[in-house]
Amino acid sequence: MVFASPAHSLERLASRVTGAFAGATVLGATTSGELTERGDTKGGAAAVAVAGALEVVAGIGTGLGDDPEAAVKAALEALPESRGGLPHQTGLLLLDPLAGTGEEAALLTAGRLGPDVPLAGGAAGDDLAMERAAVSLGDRVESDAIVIARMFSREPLGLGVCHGHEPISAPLEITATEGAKVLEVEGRPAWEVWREHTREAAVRAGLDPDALAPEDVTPFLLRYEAGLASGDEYKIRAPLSRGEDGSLAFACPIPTGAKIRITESVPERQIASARTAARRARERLGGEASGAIVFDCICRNLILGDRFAEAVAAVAGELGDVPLAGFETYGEIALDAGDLSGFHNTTTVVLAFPK
Amino acid sequence: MKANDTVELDGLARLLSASVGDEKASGAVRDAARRLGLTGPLSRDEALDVLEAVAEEGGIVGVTARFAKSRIHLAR
Repeated sequence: MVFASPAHSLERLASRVTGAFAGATVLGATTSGELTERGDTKGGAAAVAVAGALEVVAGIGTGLGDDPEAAVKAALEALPESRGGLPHQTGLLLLDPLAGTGEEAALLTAGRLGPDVPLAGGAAGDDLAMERAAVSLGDRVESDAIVIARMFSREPLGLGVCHGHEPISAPLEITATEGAKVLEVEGRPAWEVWREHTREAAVRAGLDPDALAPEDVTPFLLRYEAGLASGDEYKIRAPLSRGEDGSLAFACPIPTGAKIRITESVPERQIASARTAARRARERLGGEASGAIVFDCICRNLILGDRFAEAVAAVAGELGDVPLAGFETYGEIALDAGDLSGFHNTTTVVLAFPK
Repeated sequence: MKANDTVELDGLARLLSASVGDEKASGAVRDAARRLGLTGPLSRDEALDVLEAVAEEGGIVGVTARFAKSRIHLAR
């Protein structure tokens, strides 16, 4: 797997890695930050090779925004459904979040893979430009696309997920949408409502929502995300960008009529949630980990700043100081048996491999 | 959900709420049940009919309903 900032050519990197590992399945994505157990970078690249008692097959589908079902079907259609001697299976997804169909893609994939196959993955980034994200399979690099891998293994892999956000607003109704764009909240332009309800928390954080430079709008939105109430928990949905009409574009749709609360998180909670995700992955593994792939939301990096390395260290430490590789995403995918939703924001997803 | 189990409308809505939120899920399930003349508790087949009706809405709500329906189908 190769994860690279758009400062590098994913085409060239994927081609070089594919050439260097003949016979291997090479997956990739553009990023908004890259990480290993030694910390994180911006404008860099991270790569990891996984070997052992497992086999990975993968496919790619395009046209994810217009027809997620067809894209998922195309990615899976040529893949075997089982491998002799490798009884466990985990799905791994990499997708372009700017297509705006992250949740549909996750559910459609889970529906096709079946109830016993957990899913993990991440949505590609583009260093917060919100212009072009891409995923790759072998030396093929595509935007508006999804890569799906079936990972067959002798032992189960360990999947853990956790977020650390809390609501700061009253429930707010989504009153007008267009695809993955929220046009209005409570009958007013979405940004206007966001600005109003985040002002108090933003001032505490030293931010002024009325005086944001254009390049600061997305980082601001990623601090103050939408939380969909689901029982006692909140499913976090990240606004990725603001439109000129005051709309907010998300990585997956929020339907008209849904009620959200605007949320925020503090650094301590973000570090604790990363550790919790790693602990859950280790517990699912049922034994020692040999390493892990980490999909971590870019918004957590924006909240943590220089302390993001503490969160990475917490994940590595919880797993026994094993090698890690991953990237900072625009959305995370984790769907375990019994789960009914698979696309997350502001979470850490840890996929641990057994020793 | 086994063949002889029943489920209340709120319970059915909970299958959708992780993707679309409690309020939207509840509204979609209640609207669909009303169109079908069902009030709950629902039998397994009635629950599947309600989810099928929600699935007709398309988009994220429809995909979520289809996914929930497939999981109910598999939990025989």
